[in-house]
Amino acid sequence: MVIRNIFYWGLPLLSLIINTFLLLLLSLSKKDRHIRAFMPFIAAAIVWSASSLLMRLQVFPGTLFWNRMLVSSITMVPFFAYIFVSIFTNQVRKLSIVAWSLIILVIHYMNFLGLMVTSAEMVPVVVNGVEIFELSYSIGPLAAIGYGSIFVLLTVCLVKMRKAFKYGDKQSNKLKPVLLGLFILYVGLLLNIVPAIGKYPVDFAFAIVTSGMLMHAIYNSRLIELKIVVTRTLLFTISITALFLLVALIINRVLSFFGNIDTGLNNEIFVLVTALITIILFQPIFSGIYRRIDEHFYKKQNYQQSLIKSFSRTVSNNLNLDNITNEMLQIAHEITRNDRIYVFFRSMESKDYRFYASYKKLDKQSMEIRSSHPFVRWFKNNDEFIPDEYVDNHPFFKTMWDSERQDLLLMRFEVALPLKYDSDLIGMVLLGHNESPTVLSKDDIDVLATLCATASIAINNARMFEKFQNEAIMDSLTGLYNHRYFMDQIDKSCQNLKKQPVTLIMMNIDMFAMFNDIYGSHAGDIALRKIADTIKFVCGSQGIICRYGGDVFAIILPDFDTNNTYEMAEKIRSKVETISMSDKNDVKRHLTVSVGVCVAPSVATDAKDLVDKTTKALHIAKKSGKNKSVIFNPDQHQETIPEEVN
Amino acid sequence: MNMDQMLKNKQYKEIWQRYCGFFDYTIEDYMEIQNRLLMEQIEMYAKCELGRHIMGGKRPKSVKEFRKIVPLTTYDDYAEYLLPKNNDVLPSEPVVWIQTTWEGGKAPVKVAPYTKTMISHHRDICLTCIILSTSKEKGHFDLRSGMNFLNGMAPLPYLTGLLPYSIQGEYTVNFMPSIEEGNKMSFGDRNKAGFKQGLQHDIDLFYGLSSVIVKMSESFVEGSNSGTKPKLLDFEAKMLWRLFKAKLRNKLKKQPIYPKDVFDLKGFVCAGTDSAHFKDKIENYWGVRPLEIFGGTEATAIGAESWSKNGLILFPNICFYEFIPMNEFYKNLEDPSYQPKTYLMDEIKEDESYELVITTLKGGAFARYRIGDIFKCESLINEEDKIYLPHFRYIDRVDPIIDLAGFTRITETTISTVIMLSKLNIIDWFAHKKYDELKRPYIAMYIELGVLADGKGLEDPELIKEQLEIYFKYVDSDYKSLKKMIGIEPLQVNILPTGTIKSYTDTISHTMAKVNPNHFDIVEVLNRAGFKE
Repeated sequence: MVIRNIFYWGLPLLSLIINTFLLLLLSLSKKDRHIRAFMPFIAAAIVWSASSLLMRLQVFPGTLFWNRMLVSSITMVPFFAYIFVSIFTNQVRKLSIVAWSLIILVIHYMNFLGLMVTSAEMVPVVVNGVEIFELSYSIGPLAAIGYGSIFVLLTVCLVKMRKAFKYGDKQSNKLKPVLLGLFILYVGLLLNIVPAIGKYPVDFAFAIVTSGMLMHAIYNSRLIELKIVVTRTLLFTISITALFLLVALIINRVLSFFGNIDTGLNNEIFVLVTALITIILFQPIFSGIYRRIDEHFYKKQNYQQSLIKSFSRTVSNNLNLDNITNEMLQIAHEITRNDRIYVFFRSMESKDYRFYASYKKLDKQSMEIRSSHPFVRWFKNNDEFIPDEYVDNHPFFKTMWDSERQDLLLMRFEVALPLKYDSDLIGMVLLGHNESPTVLSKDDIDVLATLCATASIAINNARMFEKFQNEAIMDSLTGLYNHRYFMDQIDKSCQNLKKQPVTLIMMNIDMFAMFNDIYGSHAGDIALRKIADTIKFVCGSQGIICRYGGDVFAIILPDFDTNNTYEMAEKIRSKVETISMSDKNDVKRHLTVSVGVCVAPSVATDAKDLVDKTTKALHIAKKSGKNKSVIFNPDQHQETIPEEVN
Repeated sequence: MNMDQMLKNKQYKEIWQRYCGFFDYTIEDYMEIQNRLLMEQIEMYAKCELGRHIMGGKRPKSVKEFRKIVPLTTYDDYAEYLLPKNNDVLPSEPVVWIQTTWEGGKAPVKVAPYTKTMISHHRDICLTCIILSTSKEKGHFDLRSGMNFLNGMAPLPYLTGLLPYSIQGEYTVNFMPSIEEGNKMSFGDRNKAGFKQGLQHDIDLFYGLSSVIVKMSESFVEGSNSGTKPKLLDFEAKMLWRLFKAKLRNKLKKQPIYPKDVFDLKGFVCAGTDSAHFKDKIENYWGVRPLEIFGGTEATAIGAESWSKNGLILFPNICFYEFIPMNEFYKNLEDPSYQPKTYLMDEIKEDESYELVITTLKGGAFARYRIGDIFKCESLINEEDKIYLPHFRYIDRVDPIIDLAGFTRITETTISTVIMLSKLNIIDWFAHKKYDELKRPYIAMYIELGVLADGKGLEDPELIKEQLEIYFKYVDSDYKSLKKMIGIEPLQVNILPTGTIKSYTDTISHTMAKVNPNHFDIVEVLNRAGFKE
């Protein structure tokens, strides 16, 4: 008996609960056209199961009415499935929908005329001595037409799906469980043709299988994208409503229990006290539910926010640009799970944006973003990120060169974000498409934008610090290190002379004062720059090149021997001799340099001694004809240096 | 995502932005695009042999320097580099070579290379034009994949033949006839076949030469009265229904059947000189106002009307545009060594006519190239449509050429050759383009006959016209089709008293052009001859 009741009542009830839950889920989610098309389908299934229950409960207006409602909803389910499949596979044919609507309407009309089900009533029967009601109905002459139409409609859905899949719409494969479910359902419905079977809710057993397949389709195959919008307000409302109902029940019980006892309190005060207790109880319960929901639904957001906070703390006291950038790249990777992240900074000299760092150390980018690049113009005008589709589709980017498009293509460009400080675009972060098929969500990009905004401040400070640092140690005219830096470095280099010898070159421009007098100080500055460039060209990354002062240059060469140093000195000297010191092609002006070389520890003992002896060698070069290189020889070169070398 | 997919997903806003977003540009945005893309072109151009030849080995560092260093060019400057179709001399490798007749040129045809990027831009422009042809207001258009498209234009290697290939893979249409079938047919047969298929399956989109469309429409109307019976089984149901309704109306109300009674055309794109003269007629026949576009072999398609169909807007990312005002044009005409001044898009004035000068972008071959077309700036902005870019109206080819309905171009050389071959004793002449009462263009030719020794000569203008037409058809193959395709009488001959022209030219300091002379020159000569213009 119990099993019979479970079967008889439980199946439609379970089907109703499942479908209602599905509908609730759908209504709480962010709706797109697919969800909107799916909802009527579920609603029709709810009407169907509700009609069955109400029919068995013999609710007004009666069994026959609810049976007819049930039959109507049975036809609506495949009709809404057809609409959903049409929209999902982008094969909407208005004419077909109108035609099928008319057919369904005709079926409804036939149904309400009693041509589908001629009679339906709950008939009392005695089972094991207990009187129960069973459904008794008879199928009308046109029921076959109704059923036939439904199956044709389902077949059309399948054909549409096959067509979509054939023409490359792989999404349509997700419909397989839905369609299979529908066919299972209608096998069950077919059994209703036999009243002896149909009086039992066998079709609901099949319906529950169908609902299960829908759930599977939604969650596993992600048939429709459900973004549950459980707002705190909604949660609060549901919680307080449920709690209040519960408390109302408790108060009612309590009141009826205490009703016969004189508490000395009137009812109003009693209710007030109970309500107060409710509020006190409510707080921890709400906090608990809130925390659980937060953890479940907002886990990702909370994690991302904690990353940003951690980054802010880390960089707040950091003025090292490398460290800040690396930290930023690390956090960006954590947020996006993407390892194609690139940072570009604006060059101080050219105002173009050059590659600075990437998440993967070896993944360097050779592309440069010109100051006239549309990305730069875009970010100067607004702070919005640039997604890849903008590059081809947005009219703003029509100014992009083919080579620039090619660069973006090569790096598999996905999105660009600005690094802006005080409305000044100091750099950009570019992301390339990852190997995995997932695409960056808008939420992820928003978090990245927050990261970039935070990082911009730290980066700007670090760059300013670097700039001042450089200015403190660089000579602005020649771009070489200045005297202060030289003194610092020569001391450092000579600290471990036992293990590492150091050679020093000092060179002085011959007759520079006269050159300045004749051609002017501007021409002199050009000459200094050209000689500095020549030295940089010859030395490359070897040695520390400094402008010692005025027209004197010094090159510190750790781990060099005298011969190699002399060779380098001679290369520089002979190159300087050949180049023109004018910036005009048609004007030729030439200068020469005299060079002194010395080595420690074999000749000089310490930094000061090294400088003195190299200067002596330079002086000898000057005195013995200029335009030559002289290595300091302790046996020969012992005289003191005059105050001015020139 | 291609346009088919975007249409399927109903991404109409995105489609509009992608293809028609340039309507939102300010003139500053427009010039930014022009200047920046020109710099890209200069970089490419300076590296190639053709570029070095045109730019004199120099590498301009700015737009200003480019306009200063590079002289205005004509096809003569490119012929030896382009006619052999040698890719090595070009700034970028071409994917296809497009050709057109070279009227009055050293060779029969001119060719222009099209790079991959130029083709992809051409694709975008074609789609822009198709979208706009169905548009009645900003952001609105009526397109779906698989529409029936009657392509009434010439196939490759002409520019119009690029359309079916460039939109392939981006937007699916049902060409009528199909590309493969159409390529095997003559121009006339292709139009007929397309029309026939259109009758059976409807036409959604139509792209054709304005003059030809008008002629076909007239034939359709005449045909509807002739009682010809089509094979009904070939027709789709909806076409049968429309034909039936139209025939019924024709019988009951004695009204001719217009194409609009039968076809539910969504969009109409027309091209060709004289389009402005035909648009009203086309709209009357088809119920849809055609969208005029402008293009040329050397430039590609460079301009189209907006949804209001009231003036051409030039696309900013296709060519760099300069404009020669007419006073500068005439100075140059008088003195070919004079370099006329040019103005940029943000410098031109409303209500002024200009000769267009283009520099092709994205690896194209032409720099400061005079394409030989005159435009009038109708307005600098369109406040109603909120388009803040200049609108143009196409006027005609430059004066020394008579373009007849976009079908053929007659130059001084053509006429001189015809006169020579005809052996008629024509001692002096001039010709200019006129329009008849139906706004159809024709050549009005004024001749002076010499007196033969025996005093005899051919003096009947009609006979002279017939004689000249024999040789026009011989010299210009497109001339033959004019009457057949467009239904115009292309030549009218008028005989002036001998010595009239000379008596006038002796009194003037400038040279009177033989083809399309100055209006006042014509008036003066005709006054002397006692003619009324």
